[in-house]
Amino acid sequence: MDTKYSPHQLPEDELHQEKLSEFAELLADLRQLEYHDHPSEDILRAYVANRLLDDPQAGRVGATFRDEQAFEKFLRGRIPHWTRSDVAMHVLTCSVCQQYVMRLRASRWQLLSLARQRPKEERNWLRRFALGALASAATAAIIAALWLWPASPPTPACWIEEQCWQQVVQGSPPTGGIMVVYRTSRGRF
Amino acid sequence: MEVRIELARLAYAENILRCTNEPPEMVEDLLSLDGELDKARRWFAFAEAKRRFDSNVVRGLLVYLFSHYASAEFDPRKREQLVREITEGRVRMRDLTIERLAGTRLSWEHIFRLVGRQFNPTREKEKIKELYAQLYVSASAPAIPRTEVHYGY
Repeated sequence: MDTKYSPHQLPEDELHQEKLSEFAELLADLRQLEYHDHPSEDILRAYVANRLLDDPQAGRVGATFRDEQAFEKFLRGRIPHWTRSDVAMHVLTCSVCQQYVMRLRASRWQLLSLARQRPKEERNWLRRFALGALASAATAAIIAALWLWPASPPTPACWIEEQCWQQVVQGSPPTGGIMVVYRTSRGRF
Repeated sequence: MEVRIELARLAYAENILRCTNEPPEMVEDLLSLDGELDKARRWFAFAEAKRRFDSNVVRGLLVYLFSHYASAEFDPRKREQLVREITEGRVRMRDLTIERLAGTRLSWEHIFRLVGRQFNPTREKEKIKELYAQLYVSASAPAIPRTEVHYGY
């Protein structure tokens, strides 16, 4: 939205004096009415959330004035398909729905205020979680290294089947030297 | 029934604000069923002004009008919410309804921010009054040439 304006360019007095009072009488006859039909809770929620649109069949023209039938229904206050304009006019003149819409707006306002605060908290929480996970992983790695170090000999134990062992002993020169046998797989040299 | 016609005229006024209004000559008969042709024509003057002049400025005047005169009671909480939304640029004029504006008592600074630019409300108001006089007072016949009206938004 373009907000390039300066409220100081116009004389303040002139601004504050202009009340458009000549047009006030256009809204003077507005008063509360008695209704038999009210928009449902879902429709009021959609209206408050600004999700209730005008009749899509009406295009960009307000559905109330689309044809005489629609207008007659509006006048009778019996509206089968509530549009935004219908709901706005109803709430404007129905004290019951006014109260309900007021409560809906208050709770929506609270939710939006919470949503504004949450991103900062979530970022802090994520940062804390990431640091904690990193520290835990490092600790676990150190403990694992300390645990495995003494249990891991430099060379694995040589397991030789009895038959093969005898062949080795018998086939080796009896000079009393030390013979080291390595194996790569079970039962084989 | 008269009250309902009054409400229908307000619905039409709201449609002017949201740019969803029928051309005046299409609804003149419907909106003057209670004999209040002059009231209907005042709203038609706004509709015609929106077409001839800066539409956003005319809509800004309507926002001020609804904000101050649609409800006799001032609602500070409603005002606070709307002002914050306007300040944060989260509300558009086509989303506004008379009900949402009623009782909020917006200042001209808020209107300027909503419109996106500053204007002289007194001068714009006088232009609409002149247009009304030009259309309906000086000439008694239906003054809006039907062939000229085009609402191709």
